[in-house]
Amino acid sequence: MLHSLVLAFGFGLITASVLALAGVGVTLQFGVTNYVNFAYGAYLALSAFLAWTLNVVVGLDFWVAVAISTLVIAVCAVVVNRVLLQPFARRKLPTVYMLIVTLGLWLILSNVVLVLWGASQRHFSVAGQHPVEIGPFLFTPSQLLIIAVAVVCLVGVHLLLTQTKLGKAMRAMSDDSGLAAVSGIDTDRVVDATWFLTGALIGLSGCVLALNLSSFLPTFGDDFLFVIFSAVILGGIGHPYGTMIGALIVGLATEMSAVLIQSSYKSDVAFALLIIMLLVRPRGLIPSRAK
Amino acid sequence: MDLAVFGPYIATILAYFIIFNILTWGLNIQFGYAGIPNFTYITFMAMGAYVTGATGLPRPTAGFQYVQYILGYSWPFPITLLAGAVGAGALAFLLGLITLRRLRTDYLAIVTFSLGFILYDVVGTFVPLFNGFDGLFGVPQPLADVFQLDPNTYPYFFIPLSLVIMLICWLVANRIFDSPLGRTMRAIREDVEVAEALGKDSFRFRIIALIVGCVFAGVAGGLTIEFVTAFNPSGWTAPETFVIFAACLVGGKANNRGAVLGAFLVPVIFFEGSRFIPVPPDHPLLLAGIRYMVIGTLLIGVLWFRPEGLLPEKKKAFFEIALKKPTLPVVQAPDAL
Amino acid sequence: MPSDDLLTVTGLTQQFGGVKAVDNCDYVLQKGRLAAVIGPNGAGKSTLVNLIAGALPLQQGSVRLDGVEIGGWPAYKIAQHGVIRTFQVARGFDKLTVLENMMVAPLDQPGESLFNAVVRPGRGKAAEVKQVARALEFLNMFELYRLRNEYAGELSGGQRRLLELARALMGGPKLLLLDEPMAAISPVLVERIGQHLLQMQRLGITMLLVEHNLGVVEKFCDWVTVMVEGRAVVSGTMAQVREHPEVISAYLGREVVSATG
Repeated sequence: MLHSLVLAFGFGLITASVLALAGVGVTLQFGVTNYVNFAYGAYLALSAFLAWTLNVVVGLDFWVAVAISTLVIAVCAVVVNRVLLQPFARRKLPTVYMLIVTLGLWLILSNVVLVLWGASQRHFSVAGQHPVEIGPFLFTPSQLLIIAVAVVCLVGVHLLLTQTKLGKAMRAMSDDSGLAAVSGIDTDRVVDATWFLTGALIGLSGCVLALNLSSFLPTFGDDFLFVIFSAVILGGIGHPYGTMIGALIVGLATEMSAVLIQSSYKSDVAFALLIIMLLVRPRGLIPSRAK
Repeated sequence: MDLAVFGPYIATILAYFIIFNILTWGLNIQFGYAGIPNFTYITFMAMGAYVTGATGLPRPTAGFQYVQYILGYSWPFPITLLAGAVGAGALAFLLGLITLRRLRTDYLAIVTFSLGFILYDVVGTFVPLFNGFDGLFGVPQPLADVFQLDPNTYPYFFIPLSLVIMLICWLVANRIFDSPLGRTMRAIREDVEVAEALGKDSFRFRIIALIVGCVFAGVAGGLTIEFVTAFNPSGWTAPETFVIFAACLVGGKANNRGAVLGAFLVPVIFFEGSRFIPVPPDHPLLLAGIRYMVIGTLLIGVLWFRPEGLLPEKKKAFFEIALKKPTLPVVQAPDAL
Repeated sequence: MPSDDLLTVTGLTQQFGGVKAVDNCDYVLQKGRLAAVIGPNGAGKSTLVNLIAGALPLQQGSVRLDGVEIGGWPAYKIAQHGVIRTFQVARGFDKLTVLENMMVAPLDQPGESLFNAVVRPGRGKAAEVKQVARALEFLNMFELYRLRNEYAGELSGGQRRLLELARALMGGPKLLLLDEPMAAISPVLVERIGQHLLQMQRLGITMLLVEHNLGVVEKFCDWVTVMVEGRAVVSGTMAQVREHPEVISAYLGREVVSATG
């Protein structure tokens, strides 16, 4: 029991890494643009299936495929924003309309994936999957790589947010977009950059999530989306650092509950966490300032 | 044209139209009147269907090992449908208790959206509840046994029956819209804070809207399972909610006539829209996929080109009362108050 | 006639992340007053109004209306108890007509119960007729009668202000909290709204304004309180308040400092 809990802790760290990648993307975009995008489930799937085609059909190395797919999703996110989301956002419609627009986008994109790739289980071809013992944990080399990639990316996001002009502008818009516009920030450029970054993070996490799942369906992104939302809300929506903590909590809780309760209830645990959080601290662990 | 074949076909289409109308009105009450983004509306339709079916079916017998479900009371028709409505309403009450008190629109949307996936998963994988992904089947049709009705001509009986239920729903939906209750719901939709500053308990009004809307969905679900005699998770996947949203938005939200128009047009738009795309007959996935792409495009298109819908929300006209002095000088107060 | 106290605020404190917006504030308002709270920016005037109205959760202190402790109640309950507020930027129900906006305000409408709405819509009718008559009377008073069937969202900024006042009256308030009712409107309309406020005072409604424009306050208000750094430092008529040394330093002190420094 204890041993399997320790192993689950290790899996939890991997899930947390993937969650943190996606969650930071989601939370950054929400902070800057101030609406929730429900189409991420489709973005995750699109990225994974694109990488699958490059990896399995074309025969590229997995991580090369991931890099290309990540870049494609990032560019797509920017294009979708320019063509669809930004024009709607400019109209200043009520929030709920904006949400429905992203849901329409989700319907379109997720069915594009379904039609293009079909409804069968896919898996990546990655060499050398012999588990390695590290301390009490057991990881495959690609799982170790997932953690490493996540850590590198999150440190990169941290540096971007704190050290660069762009990152500071993003944080300023997150706090008060009106004030940011007045103080001379080119908000359109910041929004574009945010979508690029978010698209890249989502694209990357889609691929590594699919890798970690061993086999995946076109709907796997939807099932994972609210686990991401749980992490984001736990950390306080709009807060990248809170989201990282939220990802850690949700990742560990879901994997360890798989041992304690039953593995099929993993996502239910994430949802329960989300509900409890909303009831107890609706503004997240790190409450944001009144918006 | 052979009436014996064509008649039931028309009747079936009519039955679906009736059911879709009730669904759209229910969503209209929640979303159109009160502005609640219930992004898992279809789940409440499923709840109504399952409870109606499971209370109408007899206890699962040991012989049929593979069919499992709870309830199984063999209740007669109107009671089963009522049970379905109550089931959907109860689930709505729970959801409302959790979400409606303090949550902003976007959090509410996330919770409802997520709840749909969770419940779908639970119903699908926890077989003892409603027989998992195989779902319920062999549900007795309303009053078919009492009147000894033939399954082939059953639609002729079902249509008037469901028409009566539809008319009751129409009456309820419109009476709410015309009443001060509906007015306060719409005020809360426009600005919760201002409504609260006028002494309106937004939680009370919104939970009423949520429950009534979901009861409509439950009734629609109940009628579905009674008509089709079977129901399983493939009938209520998450995207189905947005077919109803599309009907509601295309027709015109907060306008029940518009909802009827939307409930009629959206399936037509789909058939028209998909006609231009050659679909190989051996690719069923493609058809479903294209259907949802059309729905998604429709949602976006309506919100861009005509967010108020084809039949916009009507201005409420009050009876006129003649004022004694139509233009009082500003500073003089009326004596009687 | 001895005027008694309608509103008594004691020891009210509100912190936003360590900054005390309202700091141990005491405030008393007598019935029938048209009172104003003035003070420099950031003195906590709007926060005071928000706390009385229940728009912010009460952290510390007590708010009593007619001897009943309303501090900490949810906003809608405070409103039901007779405290109605308006907002800095006039707000309304845009997709409802002007008359419907008015009709939302009455409390305890029989037609607001689900049972009455669905089963016996006639039950609410009598009350509705009476309220429509009242609403039209008020709309006439605020010269909005001819706009009664327009959407509130189509009104001009000034008309929205007037509608907000009329709608507040519909709720039958004991105390009306007005958060900068003269902000961002033309001088002509300022005068008109001032006259309306006097008119409402004659109808027996107690009002508390947050206001920047001292000329307006001097002209219309009969009781002025100065807030400085989260505290009500002095109350009286404008003439009395003007002489008070703390007020002079609060209003002039900064200018002197900034001029020399």
